[in-house]
This record gives sequence, structure tokens and C-alpha cells, in this order.
Amino acid sequence: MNIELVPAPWRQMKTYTMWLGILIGTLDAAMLLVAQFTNLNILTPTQVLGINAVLGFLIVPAKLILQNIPVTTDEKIAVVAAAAAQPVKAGEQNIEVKVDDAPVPPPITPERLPMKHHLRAAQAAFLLLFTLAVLGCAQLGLASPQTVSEKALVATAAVDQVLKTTTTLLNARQIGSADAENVVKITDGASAGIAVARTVAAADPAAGQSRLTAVMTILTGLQTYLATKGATK
Amino acid sequence: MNPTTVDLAITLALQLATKASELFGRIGAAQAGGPPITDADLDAAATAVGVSRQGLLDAIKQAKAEGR
Repeated sequence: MNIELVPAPWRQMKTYTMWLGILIGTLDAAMLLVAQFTNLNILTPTQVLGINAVLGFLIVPAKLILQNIPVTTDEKIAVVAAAAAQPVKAGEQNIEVKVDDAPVPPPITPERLPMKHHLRAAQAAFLLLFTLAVLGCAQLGLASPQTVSEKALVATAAVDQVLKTTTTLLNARQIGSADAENVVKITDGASAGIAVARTVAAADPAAGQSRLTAVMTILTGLQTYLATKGATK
Repeated sequence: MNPTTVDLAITLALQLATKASELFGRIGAAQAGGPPITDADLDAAATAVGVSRQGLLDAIKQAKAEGR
């Protein structure tokens, strides 16, 4: 007896959601690169945020739909085994098992979430590039910080955002207290760096801006790490 | 579905969007001829950092109490 699994239409969504995440990331990266190297403002920051939000939210219903679809090898085996256990009609050689008609697999807990790797990869891409898009708004046009004060304000806001993101992740049990303590140490250093940069800038604006750029590099890396951490753990 | 993961993604996205809107709106206004960024703005931002930092420290304390 041959048993063939026929993919249900919704199963195809796993590919769509994965590619959706990759598409969002690719578009963001392309816009940032074009804006960076050509001074061509493709979209305003508000438009970028809006597009990211809309596309990002599309992943959510797709994930809901995928909730109970068996995808892993173990789940497929369970479905096939259940189907094989059913009586076979005389003379029937091939049985087509549709997933939608198959016995309901065991409840899927968050830890056994089908497609979690693909979807969380998509979420990671979304969060990562959303963060980069937000931090890269200056590259996209309207409100690029120019003065030391403006850059210091951006850096300070970034410190604040990193702290809030870390708190959110910690409360959601996505990171541990050790990680959070490291973030506190790094952001304390960043805050001190901002203060030093402002002091240095009073005498040497270029040196002050250079220090602020270094601080922003650290904060951007930290924010990226947190976004990935939250989406993949 | 793991609601925590999705809620978390939405929460973080909204946090970022809100912050970006405020921040770049303020800088854009300054560059458009509005009031420039002053020490008062930076002090206000630093105060917000202090509040967020304390919130994180409280969360760390709670997490440690729960063995996380």
C-alpha cells in the first residue's frame, strides 16, 4: 500500500511567509543602500515604517493559519501512521491522504510550533531590518541629524530604546537576567560616551561627532542583537 | 502559535515606530527653522534613559527572584 501525502494549500504558506520576510528585508536593504550612495530618497521614513508595519503584520495571520498544520517529520509520520491504521478497502492500492482530512495531530505547543524556524527567521529578518530602517531614517531623507546636539539626541534616544527593548524581552522571558545586566553595562558605557562626546565637541566638533558615531555603532549592533535574540529564541 | 513571540514582535515594532516618529519629528522641526536642539532636550532624553534604566533594573531583580 502506498500512502502519499498531498500538501494542503495552506501548507504552501510556509514558503510564502518565509519569502515575505526575505522580501521585506531585501527592499529595506536596497532602499538604504540606494539612499546611502546616491542621495536619492526613494521613500520618506514614514512610508518606510508604514510599509514595514503592513508587511510585517501579514506574517501574523499566516502564522496563525499554519498553527496546526503538521510539517515536521515526526508529525508527518504520525499522520501517515494514523492513516495507515485505517481499514483499507478491498482492491485499493493507492490511498491519497489529504492533510486536511487526516487525524488531528497532537496539540502543538509553542515549543513544538511548526515552521518555527522558518517563521522566526522571517520575524528575525523583519525585526532586524525594521530596526535598521528606523535607525537608517536619516539615510532616507527628511530628518538627518547634522549637529552634535542632534546626533547626541539620536544616540541618547537609541540608549533609551535599547533599555526598553531589553526590558520587554526580559519580561517576555526571551532573554535572561545575565544578558540584561550586560545590556545595562553597555548602555551605561554608551551614555558615558555620549557625555564625553558632547564635552569634546565643545572644543573639537569633528572629534565629538566621531565619538558619537562610535557610540551609535555600538548601540546599533546591540539593538540588532536584541532583535535577533527576541525573534529566534 | 506562540502569542508571546508575535506580541513581542508587535510591541517592539510599535516602540521603535513611536520613538522614531518623535525623534525625527523633533530634529526635522529643528532643521526646518524651528527651535534647535538644546541642552534641555538632551537632559529630557537623559531623564527618559534614567527611567528606562530603572525599569530594566527592576525587571532584572524580578527575573532573578524567579530564577531566570
